[in-house]
Amino acid sequence: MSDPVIEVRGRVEVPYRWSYGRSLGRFFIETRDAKRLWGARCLGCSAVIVPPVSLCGRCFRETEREWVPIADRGVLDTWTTVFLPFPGQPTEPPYTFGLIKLDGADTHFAHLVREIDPKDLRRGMRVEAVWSEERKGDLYDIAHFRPEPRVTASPDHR
Amino acid sequence: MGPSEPGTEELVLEGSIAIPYKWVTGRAVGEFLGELRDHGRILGGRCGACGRVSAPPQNVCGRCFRKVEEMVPLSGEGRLVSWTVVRHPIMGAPLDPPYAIGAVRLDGADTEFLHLIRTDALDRLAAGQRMRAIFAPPRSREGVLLDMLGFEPI
Repeated sequence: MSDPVIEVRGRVEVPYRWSYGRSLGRFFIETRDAKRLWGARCLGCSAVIVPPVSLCGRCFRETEREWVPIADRGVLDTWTTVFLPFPGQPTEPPYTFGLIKLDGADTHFAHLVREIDPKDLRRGMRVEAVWSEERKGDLYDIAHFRPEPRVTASPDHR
Repeated sequence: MGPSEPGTEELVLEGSIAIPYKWVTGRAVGEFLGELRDHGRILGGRCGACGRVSAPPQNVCGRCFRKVEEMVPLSGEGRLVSWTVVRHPIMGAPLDPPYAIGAVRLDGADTEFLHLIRTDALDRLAAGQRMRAIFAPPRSREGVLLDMLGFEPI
């Protein structure tokens, strides 16, 4: 008899096509073509939801009558640094994903936080988007967020 | 003020979720796959308790649940018991339709062996028809079921 096989390796591929729908479609066309972010205001609770969705997740009212311009910078509320490799990651670990309250938004926006050692992250730090040169109409039209440069007093200022 | 009016463009994200896996074969199946890869031969597994021969071998006897430990060389020839002709494309299928998958009771075995039935004469298949196993060229065999190409009518 020959050497037995111990394990068989394989790979299942699940291809998909996901339609963004009306709200997210418009949101990502704006990130792709204009490097602009928008939120939608809920008619019920007035929350500004970013990215916009058709129904407010809190009160189930319509949101899309009013689109509100949102800054591409805001406050880092919390984050997770991922060390474990697994299929489907956005990039090689370690990497940090933060929840960011963009200026003007009432909901958090999740994205990569780079250009800073995760040890130096602090709740409440201001971060700004770094836009990608090539944009296709998805989350990575923004490459990542980084700490907003701090304004320091110039040497001449007294 | 608002974003530019929505045109007719619909955004669609195309992607693929990849699920890599490792499957541990167990003893009898591992021996079966090793023999397939190295010698292009089929082994059945005989249950030490009830004598039932499974081909392809089960690690645990399907009738009495004892561990299968005795490997039995088989000729690779047998009879076609049942089959399906597949006419619709299925993601991940090994062949383009139409093709047949059949259950073959190998000589010396008590169970059926499911595999491709390699013939163009799909509408001339018959229950009881004699079949023989055919194998991929030695250098392309890796220790998986597709080291065997299927069965062909004798």
